[in-house]
Amino acid sequence: MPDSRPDSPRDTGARIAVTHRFAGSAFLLDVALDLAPDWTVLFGHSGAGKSTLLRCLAGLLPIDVGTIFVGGDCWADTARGIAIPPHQRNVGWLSQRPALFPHLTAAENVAFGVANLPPQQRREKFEAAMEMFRCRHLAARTPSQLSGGELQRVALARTLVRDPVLLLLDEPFDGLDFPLRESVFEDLQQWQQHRNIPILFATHDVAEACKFSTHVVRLDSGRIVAQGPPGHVLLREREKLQQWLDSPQD
Amino acid sequence: MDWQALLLSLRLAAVTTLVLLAVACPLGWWLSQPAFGGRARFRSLVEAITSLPLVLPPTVLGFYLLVLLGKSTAPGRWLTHMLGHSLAFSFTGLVIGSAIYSLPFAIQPIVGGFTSISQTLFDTAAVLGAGPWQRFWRVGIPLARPAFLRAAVLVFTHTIGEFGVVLMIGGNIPGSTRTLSIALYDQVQNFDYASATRTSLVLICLSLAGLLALYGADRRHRSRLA
Repeated sequence: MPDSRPDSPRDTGARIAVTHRFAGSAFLLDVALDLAPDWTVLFGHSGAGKSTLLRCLAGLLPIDVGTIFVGGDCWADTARGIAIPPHQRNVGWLSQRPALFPHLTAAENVAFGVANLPPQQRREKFEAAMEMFRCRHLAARTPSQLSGGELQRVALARTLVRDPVLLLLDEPFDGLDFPLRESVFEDLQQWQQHRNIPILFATHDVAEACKFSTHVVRLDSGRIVAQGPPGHVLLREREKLQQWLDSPQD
Repeated sequence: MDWQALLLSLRLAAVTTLVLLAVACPLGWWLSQPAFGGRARFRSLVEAITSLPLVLPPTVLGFYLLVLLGKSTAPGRWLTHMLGHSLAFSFTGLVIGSAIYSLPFAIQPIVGGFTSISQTLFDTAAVLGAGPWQRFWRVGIPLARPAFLRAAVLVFTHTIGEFGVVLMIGGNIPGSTRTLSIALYDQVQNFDYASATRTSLVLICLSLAGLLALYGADRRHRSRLA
């Protein structure tokens, strides 16, 4: 079980200081970051290290040096030899492609993460997630029978049914059309209002970054180059976007 | 038609298939996991050893097994002492020889089945609270199911037609070690071509039936997941 340290803050935020280098690569991820129990947008272009950071936090990649504290619990501390495996972290991780298990129905996918809970608790959590993300009518379908938006809805319900203490979203809505994206965002925001946990949302989309967050972290070549309110960190991108929107279209 | 030989061949193939599925499942899983450095080199060595029967003449393998299981070596003497009889020229000896000879036919499809599963699915299962064992049982095994069927059919049909290893370890004892392929050899030696034709036809039909079942199951599985 996650270890806690007496001097670590007993709150619902997260404190991260990690480095990771891929074997045989010059790329070095070197990030120190405090996450409030709110939305934080991790903004950066492809190859900036967004996915690598999220995978380190989820425990899917080892960190070379550093610490990860979430809600006062220590998930990793290289100095003390602590590295909690991903299945014991209670982290929510949603990747760009909704990786539903193809041999299970939508309902079985959602129930996957709560299989170890007592039956009553399992049923309650399952019903709540299916209701909240409007997946009830999809329950009996297999992933091959779902559209892109439905796949992502089921994947979201499956991620959040476990009530994670940290949610990592790795550009999960890239393939969705605008109305669908809006609808999923609204559901997610409603969910966050009740849970109040840190959500780290990786994106390269300026509009998404501005819409969601009060705090943006800009990542470039594995390092944080700016952080603050979107109006400050993404000023240049916002202006470019505005110019593009104002320009006469052919 | 030598019915005794046919029954013995079927029994040998069934037992060998069960033994190899039990061995190849954990071994194939282990070989399919990502590894780096020294561990990767050790895995390459294990892969090479398990693939050796593919390139080794069956008589060479059979000869070494005969020597190893016989009374002239320490392991052979120990096994004889433990079991009360020599494994050479016995059905158990045939199973051991067949299992070693058919090992790559079980390992390679199963490793292929596990490695064809997207790593993202295993990662997703891990962050959904599934430990290594659960990832193996709840994701690896169900998604690699067609590979198990493939391995079972290949091992079964390969064992049915086995000759060199069986002859070296088991000899030609009717009812005990005389399989269908040995019976066919005998029939040809005796110029009994009519019986040899029937025996060959049975061997071809068994192999064809196995492969038809395999391709049918593969097609059904693909259409279910598509």
